[in-house]
This record gives sequence, structure tokens and C-alpha cells, in this order.
Amino acid sequence: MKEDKYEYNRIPEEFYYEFFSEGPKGKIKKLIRYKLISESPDHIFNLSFGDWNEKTFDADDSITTNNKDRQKVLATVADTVLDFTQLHPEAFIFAQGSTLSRTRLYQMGISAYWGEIGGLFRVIGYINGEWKPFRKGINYQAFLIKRK
Amino acid sequence: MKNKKGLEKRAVDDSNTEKLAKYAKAPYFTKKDKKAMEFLQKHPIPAKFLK
Repeated sequence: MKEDKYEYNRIPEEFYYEFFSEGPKGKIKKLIRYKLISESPDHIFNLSFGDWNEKTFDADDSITTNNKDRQKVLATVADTVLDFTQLHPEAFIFAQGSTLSRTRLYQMGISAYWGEIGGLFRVIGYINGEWKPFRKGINYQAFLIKRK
Repeated sequence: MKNKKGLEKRAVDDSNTEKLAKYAKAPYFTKKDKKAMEFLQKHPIPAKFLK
């Protein structure tokens, strides 16, 4: 099977990952960061992901890049989850997009690799006022992921 | 299984302090973390999922 993801750099001190999306819109730097937001009773890391803007020195996940590589980008983000949780197997990862459509992108990424993710991770999603075990085809508002 | 090879690790360590300082100042991340913390305070994760 053809590999379909980007190589990425990891800044281990602060859990940043960066890679470049390449397509019709050019080369766009993508940045992922895992930040510890809760230590008790469990370590919960927030996953943030967006395009890096060298002019504003900020990231943004509201941009629709249209670089025709969405699947490859999602696969790369999923790969960083794998990498990060190999280094921090005790970590819970919280993921939520800045909008419902962005959160749905995370859901698509989880669903696309569910065959592999489901065996390696416990995934729960928040919907209608409740946290529930992840099921494909449901539009969750947020996710929590942990290695089994 | 779909894309069995799909989630292989391909990270290269890059300890660049200048870059790190730049990223650390990005307001986007602060905003996202605040939003996440507020969400989790408002919608706490049941203990049964945190075991």
C-alpha cells in the first residue's frame, strides 16, 4: 500500500510537530501541539492543529487550505498521535476543532483509520450532553483518546 | 484492514529554540487551550472513562 502522509519534525521539549502540506496552493506549514491542560486525576493533553502564518507569527485552524491533500494531512496528524502516545502512553488527548466542521475533520480522521486506531486506542466522544464510546458516523463535539 | 501501514512513525527531532520561542508566543494555542479547559470544566469526563 502506498504511504500517504508527510514526514514531520518534532520539537520534543514542548510537544510540537510540524510538517508541510504540498499541493496546488503551494507549500503550507502545518503545526500540531500537545499541551498538558490537566494533571489531576489524569494527564490530559490538548491537541491543537493549524496552519502556521509566518507574517502574523500565529497558527490558525479556520483556514480552508484547499491544497487537495486533506487525507494525507489527516493521516499525518493521526501519525503524530501515535508518536506522541508512544512517548506518553499515560496521556489522554483532548481534541476539538475551532468549529463543528473542524471537529468533524478530526472525526473523519479517526473514522478513516478506525481499523487501526480502534485496536490501539480507547476513544470517547462528547455528544448531546454525554461522553460516550466512539462510533463511526456520529458527529461528536469533542474527543478524548488514550492508548489501551 | 484499511491502511495498515498508514500510521507508521516518521518523526525527526528538531530542537530549535528560536522556533520554539516563536511558536510558544502564538495566541492561537493559548486560545485553544483555554477553550479546551473551559469545555472540560463544563463537561467533565466521567471517571469510568479515565481508568
